[in-house]
Amino acid sequence: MVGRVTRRTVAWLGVAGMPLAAAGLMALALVMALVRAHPMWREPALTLAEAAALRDAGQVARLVGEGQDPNGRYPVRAGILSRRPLVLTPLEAARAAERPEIIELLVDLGATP
Amino acid sequence: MPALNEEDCIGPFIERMRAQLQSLGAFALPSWEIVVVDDGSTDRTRAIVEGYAREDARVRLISGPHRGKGAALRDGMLAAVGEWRFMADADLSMPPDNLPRFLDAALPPGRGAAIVVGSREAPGAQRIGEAWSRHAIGRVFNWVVRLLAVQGIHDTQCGFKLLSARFVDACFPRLRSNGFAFDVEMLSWARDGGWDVQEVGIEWHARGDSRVGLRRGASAFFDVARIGWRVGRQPYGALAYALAGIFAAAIAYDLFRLPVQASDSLGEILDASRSPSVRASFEGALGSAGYLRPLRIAQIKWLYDIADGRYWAVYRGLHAALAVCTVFLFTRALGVRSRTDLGAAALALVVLTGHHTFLGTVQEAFPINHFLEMVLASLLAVNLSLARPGWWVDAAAMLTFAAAALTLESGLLVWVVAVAAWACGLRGISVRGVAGTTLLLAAYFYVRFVVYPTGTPSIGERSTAYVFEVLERTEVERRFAGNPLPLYAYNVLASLGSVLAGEPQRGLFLRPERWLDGSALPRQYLAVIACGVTTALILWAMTTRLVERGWRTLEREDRVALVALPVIAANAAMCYAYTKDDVLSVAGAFYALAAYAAARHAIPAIGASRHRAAAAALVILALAASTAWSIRSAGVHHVLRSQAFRQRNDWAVLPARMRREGTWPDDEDRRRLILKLRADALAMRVPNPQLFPRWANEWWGE
Repeated sequence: MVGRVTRRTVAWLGVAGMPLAAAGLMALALVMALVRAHPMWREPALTLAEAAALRDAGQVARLVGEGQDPNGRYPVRAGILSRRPLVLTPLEAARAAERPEIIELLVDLGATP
Repeated sequence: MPALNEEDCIGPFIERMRAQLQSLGAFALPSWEIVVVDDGSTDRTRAIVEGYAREDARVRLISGPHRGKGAALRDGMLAAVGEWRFMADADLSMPPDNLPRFLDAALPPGRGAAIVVGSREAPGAQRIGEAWSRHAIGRVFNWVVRLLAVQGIHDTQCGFKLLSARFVDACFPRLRSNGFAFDVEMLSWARDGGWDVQEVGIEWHARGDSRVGLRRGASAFFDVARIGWRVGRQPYGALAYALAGIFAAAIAYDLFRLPVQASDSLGEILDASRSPSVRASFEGALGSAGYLRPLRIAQIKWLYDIADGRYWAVYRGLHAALAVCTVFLFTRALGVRSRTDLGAAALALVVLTGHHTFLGTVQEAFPINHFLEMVLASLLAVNLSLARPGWWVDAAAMLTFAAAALTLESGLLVWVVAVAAWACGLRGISVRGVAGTTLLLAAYFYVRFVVYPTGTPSIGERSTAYVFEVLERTEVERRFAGNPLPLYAYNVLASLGSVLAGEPQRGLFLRPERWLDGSALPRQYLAVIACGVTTALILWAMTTRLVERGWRTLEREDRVALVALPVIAANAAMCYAYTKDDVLSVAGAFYALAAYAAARHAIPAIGASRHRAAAAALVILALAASTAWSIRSAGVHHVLRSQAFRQRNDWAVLPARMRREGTWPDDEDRRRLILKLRADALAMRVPNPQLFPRWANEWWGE
């Protein structure tokens, strides 16, 4: 009897263990969201040039809309375009990352080609 | 058989029961015994039984001080040695010739445990000579029992039950009730442990000397409440809802982080802004070529009007609400009542949210997620079929069908659910409701093909996958315009394969060499493993349940699983023109319902297995499948994050693109609307997928 009960419990854990673990992680993430620290929904703080290099058209449009100069020079952290940190204009960064759609957007937003 | 001062009937009981057992023959009943437990009788009961025991070794007497019927039953059941143990009242209120009804309903030994409850309420039951007052009190008591302790059993107190030795050995040592609530406690533990319980109707004769008096009856009510609290029937259902709440809240949170989609939604919202009224939108959609979806357009217009500028909040809010309601209705359909059910429900929830059809569905936005509405409508239909029948249930079913059918073609699946549920014995929607829904179906086809001849989607209306390649519209027309049947057949079979086997997805097979050389992505292996093992489990469970129990005694969950088969088939048939994950959304949800029933059967079956190696292998398979589903379920959130980034980018470049294409509107109001939607999207904070770890895309997609 004891062996059968234990085996049933093992079977139960085999079926439900991982789903319950997944639910636990989701609950944790939701709790963190309540304190505005959701682990999966954080927008990184990018400069205009970094956003251009990383194909973030939305970030590019918002930063320009907030008043940033589309022709200015901005730092680009190491690891985005090269192993060394750089200072580039958004157009330079988009060309280096081969993002034609971002180049088009920057020109539309007033960047000088 | 417990006995307390039964000198008048104990002799006739032993005589008639012995005669009945002998009449069953050695084939049906190779050996038997009658165990009488004297509960401290002060009359000649003990002496009479001792007399029978001296002349017949198959009659045994156990004596003890008076402790109550429950205690006597417990002692007798544990002292008995048979593989099946029948408990009976000594007053012969049930004639012994009813015994074969119990034996017919019992399961074959070794295939799982069963409890067969003699019932005065089940089909085929007869109550003879009972006063209406006693009957009414009994019904009230049963209502309280079902409310507080044991759901789904309509007569817990009838003193005749057939129990398997497995169940007695596992459960009886933990029973504490000594009085009339003993039966309730026993059945509560049976439900908690996931043991099969069936009721069979019996012929029952009321005896005038009932031991149930007012004081004992009142005490029994308190005992029931205590049992319900102790055994904890309610928490399992509540825990299932709490679990569902976590999944629902997580998905709703992600949906609220998505901008309104530009590609599929903008045109619809602009049309809604131009329409003078909801009615005009509805009527204008009646004559669309290829489709009859007036309620879809009317909904978009209605939400546009009430949004009053808060478009993101209203459209995304509805999307999130639909997802939450879907998960909760799904959980309600499971009907969790025990620990075993809870474990199966955990798996079912990750199957629901991890299936690629669900991902395809929640990604759809349009701006209202009509495919999710169809899942909701179908789950509502199955819940109605599980409800107590009534005119309002039938009306709700018909209304649900009408609303769903006029929104999307997938809404016709509500009719499939209603008919299949009725055919499988779920009679919440009565034959009247099914007939009414069928009439509405006929009216739908009449309106669609006669009144407004909308026709059907033409071949080549859109691109579609075909085996290993994606065919553009022109190529589809070139290859299949003359004979579309091969394409239609492929799409239907591919849809079935997508739901049941995880391949092909969206109609496109992964090339065999990629499976063989290991270049297939982990998420593709996960899909096949998860779906393959689960489908095998479902087929095994359905087959064994049908063989073990037969059609008539299947449990509620098994019947819901049977409903899933025609729903999945019908949904696949609807994909004849092209396959798409969101079009298979209803099939995916019902697949998860079938997975629940299968897991519910598998857990005790593994526990009861006599072969350690086989049990271990099954546990490993179950763990592999549940892990794969859990990973896929987590992947939904990753994909939605990527989608949010893409959709925000679409809005960023939209005005410039429209100007270049010459589609930028001249109308100032429409420009203002586009810019408002764009501003809402750009204000949203979304992660950048370029910064996601590479393994996330390999395991989760996008």
